[in-house]
Amino acid sequence: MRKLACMLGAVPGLTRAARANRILIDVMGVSVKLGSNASRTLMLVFVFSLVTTVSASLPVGSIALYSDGKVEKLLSVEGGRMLWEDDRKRQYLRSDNPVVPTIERRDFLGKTRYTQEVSLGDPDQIRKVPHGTPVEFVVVRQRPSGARSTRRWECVYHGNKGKKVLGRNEQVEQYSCERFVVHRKFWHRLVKEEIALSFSRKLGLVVDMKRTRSEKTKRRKLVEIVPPEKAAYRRLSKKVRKLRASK
Amino acid sequence: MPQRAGVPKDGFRCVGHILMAAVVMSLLSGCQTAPTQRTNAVLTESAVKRLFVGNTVESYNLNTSLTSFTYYHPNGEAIQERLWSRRLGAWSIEPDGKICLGFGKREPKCRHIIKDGDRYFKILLDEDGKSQKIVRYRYFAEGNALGRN
Repeated sequence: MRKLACMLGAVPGLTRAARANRILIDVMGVSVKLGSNASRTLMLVFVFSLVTTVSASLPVGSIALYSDGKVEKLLSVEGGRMLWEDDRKRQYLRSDNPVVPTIERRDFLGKTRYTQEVSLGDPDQIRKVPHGTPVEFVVVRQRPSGARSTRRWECVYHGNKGKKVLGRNEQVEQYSCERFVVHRKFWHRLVKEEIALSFSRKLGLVVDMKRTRSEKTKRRKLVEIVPPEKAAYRRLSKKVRKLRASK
Repeated sequence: MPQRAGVPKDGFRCVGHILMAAVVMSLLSGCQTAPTQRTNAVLTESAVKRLFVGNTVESYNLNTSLTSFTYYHPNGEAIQERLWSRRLGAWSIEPDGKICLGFGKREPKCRHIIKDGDRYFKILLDEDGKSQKIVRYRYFAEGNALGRN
């Protein structure tokens, strides 16, 4: 939040307001003193917008390339939620909590479309409980037809770890998750899916993921971020073709 | 003696089993030949028109592994999007069913479309007359879906 404090300090209007010393707001550890009601409202709006943009430092229009050939473009960031679109124009709305499954998926020409919401438990507790403590939650998937299905997850936050991300050493958050069903008669768990992931808070992205489903394991690593100004077709297609050819 | 008497009985049983196995195998082989009966039929002009004209089509290039979306406007214009980049071109359909598509200053390329099972492909004929699938079509959606973006 030092970054946020610097950004606030860099705005002259705000530093003047802070000098008025009337009202104090504490936003994620950053204390700011304000004057009139109008400036207070403005300040709240400004700080809130800063908080939402600070959570993801990737500019809209950035393109993420993954080792498995997947390519996604960041379409928008709103309230800690990022809307990504892949090259098949399938859109995925994702939370900034990496253990929360995709909030919404929408195909372009195909019919697949669903929303998912947490119906039981609180996955956001995962960063608040001691490392290694499992957090269980239930997600309901709803399709436009009205069909609903539930998925039970148990996730664990293993703390931070230094890892090479796009050639630089960075701190990433380590998580593991299990999707399971409970046996109808004997009440034991049947694991349907296992995920181990590394999440970069700085990028707002999962940078490494290993997923095991139906005895098949797939791994996907973030290979490159192409900034919006460098995302011309010729350059991008060359990179994507190279990645997919090496699969 | 009972052993000797038993031999022909077993023999009949064996013949029965063999016959049964033959019937099952012929049934199974019937199942196996079903997919090979797929026709790979080259589409006619009218069939190609039905699939493409006025529709947005998602296609996957089997050589480059890239997906593209193309809207075939009834006036002969084509709008294509690949990796979030758009380009304009022109299309036409020949009497033999070949679809011609070209972008920018490049000469349009004309290719046949085939149906293999329930999938559609664009094919390229090599020097030996053998067909090679070059594009797989994933979806055909009515109207200009690209215009909505």
